Amino acid sequence: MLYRGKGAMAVKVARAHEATSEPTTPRAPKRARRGTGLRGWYRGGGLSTLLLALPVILVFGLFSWWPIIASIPMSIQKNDLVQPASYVGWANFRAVLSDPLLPTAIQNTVWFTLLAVVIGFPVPILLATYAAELRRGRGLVSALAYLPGVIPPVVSVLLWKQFYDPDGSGLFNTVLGWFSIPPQPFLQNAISAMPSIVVQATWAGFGSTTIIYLAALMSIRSDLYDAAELDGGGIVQRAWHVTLPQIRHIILLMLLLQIIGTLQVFTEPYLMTGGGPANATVTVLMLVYDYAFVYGNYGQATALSLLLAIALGVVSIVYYRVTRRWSSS
Amino acid sequence: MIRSRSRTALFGTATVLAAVNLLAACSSSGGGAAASATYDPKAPVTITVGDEPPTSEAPQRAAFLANVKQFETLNPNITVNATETQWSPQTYQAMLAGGTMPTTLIVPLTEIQSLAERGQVLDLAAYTKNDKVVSAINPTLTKQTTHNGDLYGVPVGAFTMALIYDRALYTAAGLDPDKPPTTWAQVEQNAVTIHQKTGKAGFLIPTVNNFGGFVLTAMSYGNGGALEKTSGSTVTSTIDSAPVQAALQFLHDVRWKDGAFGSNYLLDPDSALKEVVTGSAGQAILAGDRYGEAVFNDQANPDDVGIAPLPQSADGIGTLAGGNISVVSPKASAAQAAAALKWIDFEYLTMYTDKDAAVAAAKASKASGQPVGAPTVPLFDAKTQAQYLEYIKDYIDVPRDHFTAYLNSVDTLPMVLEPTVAAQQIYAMLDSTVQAVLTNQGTDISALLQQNQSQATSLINAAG
Repeated sequence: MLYRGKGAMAVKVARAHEATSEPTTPRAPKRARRGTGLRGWYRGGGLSTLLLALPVILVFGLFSWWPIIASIPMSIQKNDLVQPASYVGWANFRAVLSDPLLPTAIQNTVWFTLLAVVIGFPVPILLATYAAELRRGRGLVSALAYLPGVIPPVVSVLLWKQFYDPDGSGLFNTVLGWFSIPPQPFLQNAISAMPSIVVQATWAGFGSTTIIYLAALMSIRSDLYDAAELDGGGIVQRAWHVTLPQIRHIILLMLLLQIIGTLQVFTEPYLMTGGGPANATVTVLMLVYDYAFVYGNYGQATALSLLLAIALGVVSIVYYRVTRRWSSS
Repeated sequence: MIRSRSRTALFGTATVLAAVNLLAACSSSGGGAAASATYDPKAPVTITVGDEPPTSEAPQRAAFLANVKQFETLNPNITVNATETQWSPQTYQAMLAGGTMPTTLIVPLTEIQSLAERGQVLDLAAYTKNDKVVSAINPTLTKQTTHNGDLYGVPVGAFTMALIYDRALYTAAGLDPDKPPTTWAQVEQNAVTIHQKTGKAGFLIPTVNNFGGFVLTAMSYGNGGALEKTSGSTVTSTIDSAPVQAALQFLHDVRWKDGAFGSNYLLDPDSALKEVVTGSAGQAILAGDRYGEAVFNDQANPDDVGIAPLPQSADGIGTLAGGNISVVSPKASAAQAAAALKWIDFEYLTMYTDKDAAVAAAKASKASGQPVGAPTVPLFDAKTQAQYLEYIKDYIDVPRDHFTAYLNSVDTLPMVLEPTVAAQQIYAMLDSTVQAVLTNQGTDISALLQQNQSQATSLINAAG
């Protein structure tokens, strides 16, 4: 569908793609009947499959799905994990929804996500495209790009906190000083704090995404580029008509994961600014943390967690519906 | 693209919460001791005690473990398991729920009311009724560990909020380090002088992790008012008041009118201390018992550390008190609670009345490079404190004459307690207020305080 109406070259590339596509796999011969019911399931290898998957099912179920289910009743309890829990109806939800800090936290979280998409999303695509074009040194570029991801998150956040130091001794302000630019407040200013955090988060996270994009790019068959080149397509046209359509599934998936991930941002603002200055970087997950670990109110923490989960579910569904048309082409 | 570091955080949070809940359910048979529970004082009992010094503090660790042995010798029916577990707000409740909390642990005084409110520490009233040592502790301190008439912890260390200043910067700015300021006007004047003469920040305070609100509370006391007013069983917020406004206006003036606040408005207490004892800032409002950390952790020159009483306006009502409180797990049995109380007495309080214990503790501190004789608020009366100082006089290496005003203020400056209801939530709210004043010149302090008062009222009502 992406090729439709994109010009003659796009049509030719699409045809080339079709022409070079793998031949249709012949339908596998029907297996001999092994019987129905339990015996058939057993003879068909059902038991061995189940045994193989059992450890994963158990671990996933015990440590992922069961806690999620168990958190639902907790959200309607007064629960500090020590005293016997008591059911309080919707009081926890009412309390968190009437928290005067919640609108600010939602606004900040959405702002972080938007900035992350604008600042952080294109970076790995561009870098991966550049790396894919390299004839030599691709491995080195990939390794260098991934390097920040090797640093533990807390360490990298604290490192950048030093870089952002507001007096002249901070790395960035030292560099600015070389050009006679006075020290900038970065994290100390309500306007610049969030973009500063996004830049750090982008630096810390772009490496792994670049590797994923690079893998996707390397899987694009070269004959598509050859066809485009024969048609006179330059680098921009090749990228637009070949590269992007070929990795659109990955792009859409990574975008969704980024939106879900950034809407749950916690580590970076918690360590860099503690939500300040003046609540300019407080996020929804920081409120969840405070409810649970500062005020010991696990009921309210879980209630807000569930609301966030529902919001993320809605975002994911809307995103899926909006992008389904692009994905299915 | 941003790595979704917290991609699984939501489910992770839910996982942790529910896993802890599960653990709580599994361990619910542990049940705490009712205050009136009876026990056989000679029956064998095992307790776990936290706050064992880490291996990096070898001499103190050795002294601690020697004390464990001595305690077990003196109390043959009590077995003590020592652990390095320390207070952490992130793990305390999970430890409790999971049954891994030591029988006794030290928590900050600022947390004790919340913990008592939530039933997360044991009511010790029945165990301390006839304890002469605990009964002799300064009642101002034990009052803070009392909730609804019951005692929920034993104070084992105390401080008051103070003005910490850099004596070297004072000298460099032409100020007399032996005459620290006593009023807010003098503090501001000195801040201006320090900034003008040395280029360093003249004054700062911590502003994050609820410490902005905590320090603002202390400054409000120094200006003559508290954040809450208690009348019978009714607690009302008094944040929107002249003393709190004066404290915020002071911060605003130092930051915007004088330009002497420095450039970092997101400081935690450790960072603030480091700034003020290593020559980066002239003055700060911090806990007055941080000499040891300044010298030991921040490598400050002992002669450069100045500590003075919290400045007061003409209407000042005193200074905010804080400290360390030994608490007992609510899941401890009656026998364990009694044994834990014995341990607390032995490990943290006996040194004030027993020369050998005092000397042993002083020797251990000295051997590990930690200062001996650092200024603190005495746990007991002046006579007991003088006797204790006499015990350790040969080991004191702290220039206590630098803190004369602070040490004298212990007897003269009233110690005012924290807000009694929703203190941590109110501190968190005021963090933002303090940061707004420091980062936005146009902040309308009056409007902000009106808003704070309304929010604090909601928090108090919700907690009540």
